[in-house]
Amino acid sequence: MKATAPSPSSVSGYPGCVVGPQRCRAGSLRLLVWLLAALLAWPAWGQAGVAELSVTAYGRQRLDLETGRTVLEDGGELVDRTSGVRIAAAWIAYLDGIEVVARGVTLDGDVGRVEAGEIAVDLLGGRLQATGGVRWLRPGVDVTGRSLWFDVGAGVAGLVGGIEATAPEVSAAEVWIELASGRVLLVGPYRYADGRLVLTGGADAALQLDVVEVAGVPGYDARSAVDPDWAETVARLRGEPWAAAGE
Amino acid sequence: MRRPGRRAALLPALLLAAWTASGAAAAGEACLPMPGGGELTVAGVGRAVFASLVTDRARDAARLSGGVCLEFEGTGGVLRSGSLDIGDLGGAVTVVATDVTLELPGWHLTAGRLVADASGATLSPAVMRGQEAVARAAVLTIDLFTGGFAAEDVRLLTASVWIDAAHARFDGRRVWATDAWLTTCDCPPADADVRVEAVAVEAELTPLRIVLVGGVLVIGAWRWALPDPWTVDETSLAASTLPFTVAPDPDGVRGTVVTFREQTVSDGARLGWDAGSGAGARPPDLRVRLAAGAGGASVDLLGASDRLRVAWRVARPAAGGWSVSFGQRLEGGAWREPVRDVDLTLGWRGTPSPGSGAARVALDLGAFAAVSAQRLAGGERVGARLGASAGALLEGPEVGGVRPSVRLAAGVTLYPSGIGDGPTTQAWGSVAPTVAARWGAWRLDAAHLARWVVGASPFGTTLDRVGPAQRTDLSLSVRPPAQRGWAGVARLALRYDWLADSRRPARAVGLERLQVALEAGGPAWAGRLDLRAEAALAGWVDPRPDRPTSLAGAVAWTRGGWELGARTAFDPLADVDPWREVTVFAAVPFATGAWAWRPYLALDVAAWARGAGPRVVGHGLDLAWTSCCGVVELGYRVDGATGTRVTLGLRLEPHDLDAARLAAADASGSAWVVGAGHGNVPAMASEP
Repeated sequence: MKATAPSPSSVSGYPGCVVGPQRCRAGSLRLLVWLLAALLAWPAWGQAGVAELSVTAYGRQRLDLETGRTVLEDGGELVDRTSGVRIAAAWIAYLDGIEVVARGVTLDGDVGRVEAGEIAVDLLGGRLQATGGVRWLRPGVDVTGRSLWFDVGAGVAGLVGGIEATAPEVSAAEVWIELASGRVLLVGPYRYADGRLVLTGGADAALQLDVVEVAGVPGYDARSAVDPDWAETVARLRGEPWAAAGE
Repeated sequence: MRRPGRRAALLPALLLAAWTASGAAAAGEACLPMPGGGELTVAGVGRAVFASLVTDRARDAARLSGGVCLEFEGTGGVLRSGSLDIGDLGGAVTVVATDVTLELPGWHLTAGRLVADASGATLSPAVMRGQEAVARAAVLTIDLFTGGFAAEDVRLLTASVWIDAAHARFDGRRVWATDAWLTTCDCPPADADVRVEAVAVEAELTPLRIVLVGGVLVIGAWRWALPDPWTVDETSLAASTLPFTVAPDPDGVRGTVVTFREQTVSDGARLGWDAGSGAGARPPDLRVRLAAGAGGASVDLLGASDRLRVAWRVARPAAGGWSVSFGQRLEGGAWREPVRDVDLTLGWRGTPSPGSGAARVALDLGAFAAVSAQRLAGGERVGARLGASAGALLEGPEVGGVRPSVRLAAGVTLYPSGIGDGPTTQAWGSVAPTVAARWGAWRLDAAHLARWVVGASPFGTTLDRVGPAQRTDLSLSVRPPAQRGWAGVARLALRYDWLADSRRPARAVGLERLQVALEAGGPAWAGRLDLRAEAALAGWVDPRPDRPTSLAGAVAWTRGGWELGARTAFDPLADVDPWREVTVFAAVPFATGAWAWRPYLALDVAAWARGAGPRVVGHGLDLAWTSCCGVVELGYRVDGATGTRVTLGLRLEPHDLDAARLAAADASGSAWVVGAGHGNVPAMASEP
């Protein structure tokens, strides 16, 4: 795990700290929320559709007349003209207003860089799934996991499989994030380190992190008792086939 | 004298070592994960296992609940509680818990509240349980920087002493306390009939040694100031009886003997005396023994009513080596051959080769010069003696349960002149082979002594005359395994004297002793039953008079203080009245409150056969008074068969180290309740 310690203000103003302002460091979890929120707000995933995108093919471009899908077989780039988010992939298939599938993906934006083996976006269902190994990089942040997906309607994102993050140091089997509230759920086995504190839990344990701000410094409060509605939401999403398929 | 209102006591200094020692495993069971729970590690504090956790960033704190186990980092302590609050996480971390148990090496603590930070912990109120002591304190502070403990209102209970004190502090293995009350009685000092009150106390707990400053001895309403300072140690506190005994002389020579056991009067010096009231015509025999020593040197003084012996020893060959001793004997009296003797002896003792089961050799050499005087029937004998002796003990290895050995000894004494008829010598040599065999329940011991003498000492046997000997001793016993609580033993013993005896015809049997005994004992009728049968048969075989011949038997049933039984002895060779005795005896206990008494009576009813009434052959009475300061026992028993016994003693039972006993109510203190713990819920609660 890479340890970094940028100043709180340098990390979008959202350092991930449980307690103690002086112990606050850059919060990768908080940044991840910001990233996902940015993705969610990206017009391409909303109502505007692919028409808002600037599409550049690296080579062959094939249009399947039967399905209406456009396939960039040699890869290409999709750039949102509004947000500036840029997706470069070795292979891209998209159906205008319906779905986008890309392989060997690198996403660049203000939030940093996200790398994934494959991304599938269900524009109608409002769901995104990144599989084949996911990594999010930016100065002071390095989060890796096996897959990432989020439900736009529920406003919940999940990272599944060997999650590793820095500042605060987090490792967990799963990390769930509620974008609206900022609630985070670590599913065990987990390890959460912040300053002098190190919290660990077994496979049957979970830890909820709640965003708080003390003296103008944001951070997290941790508790082992998970909010019932939050636990119910996560349990429901974990049981959905598309979520299971991503694991 | 003020009374320590809120008692404090000496808390074991071991706690300090316990706290500072490392290793949670040594202190108690390590914290185990809880289902669904987690672990919290706080740098500088330790590792906590919890069922539930909430952090509060606004208060810079965390709360663990639902059962918490905390292993203190580097202290070896394991804390268990229902909940735990950790505060000031950004600075000096503090830990606060209620109803806690704290495990330290050798100690189990419970407390109503614990507050700990990097410098130490404060427990209030606290109860400590250890192998050698239990204690409770209103406030117990453990200072991790200075390595000391401080306590207020403390009570300490050890196996031999109760201590209450208002304030106490500890460092290493020592304890300092002020306003302290102490007692060896098994009750709180305030309730004890005998106690010591002191302004200050310094104590070492292992071994127990207490120094009192400003001490006052209190017995009931009486108060005596004690020397300042006054020291008591484990030996004096643990003395469970008065320092003297009254019992028959085990040698059967001096009748009933009162013995004042040797006491240590100062470092290296001991004092003791005994006095025997002679059975028969002998006058009372008083002995006083003084002994003092330092290093390997010692001085022994034995004074008796009829003799005085002084010996200086400049080296003590305990494990081998040279020794030089100088001794004096002054013995006299109407019934003893008077002896005056001064001797200087140089000795050497070889170091025995150690090892069990292997052969062993031990050597002794000695040379002496002496001037002696003894009045015999033929007149006063006075003169010098020069002598030398050598001895060797050869022990063979044990083979098949059999270990042989032989002791060889020889000596010669030269009497230059002026004694009797002129210069003479006494030389002697002896061989004493022995065999000790153990085969399961069987045991056989055989020994023979052969001693030859050339010449003779002009003095008597009291001084140094020795005679020839040729005798054999044999004993055989079997002790079968106990069955259903019953155990027994059968013995056969004989002694044969091979030397001619003026009272014995030539070629006659020289059987000194032939004895067969059977003993058995075990549970019966809710008590214990002991049976004994014994036959002395030498008189049947040896034609000399005075050889013992008898058949005897005894049965006794005991339960509690009850004692019922009978015994009889029969001489089959007696021409008249062969029944020596037919005795029935009984002891019956009575008790009223703290008092108990037990009369004893033995009646010989054999006279009934002759038309006479029973004859009292034994009587006795035992009295006991029980208090928390012990059991005072006073009694006597006179019985023709078992001899005379006089009992006067104070019996102290080791204190029961039950922490619940610390809660004994007192006038100024609060009542404490100590119960069984459950899970992470501590065992102790306090009541106002």
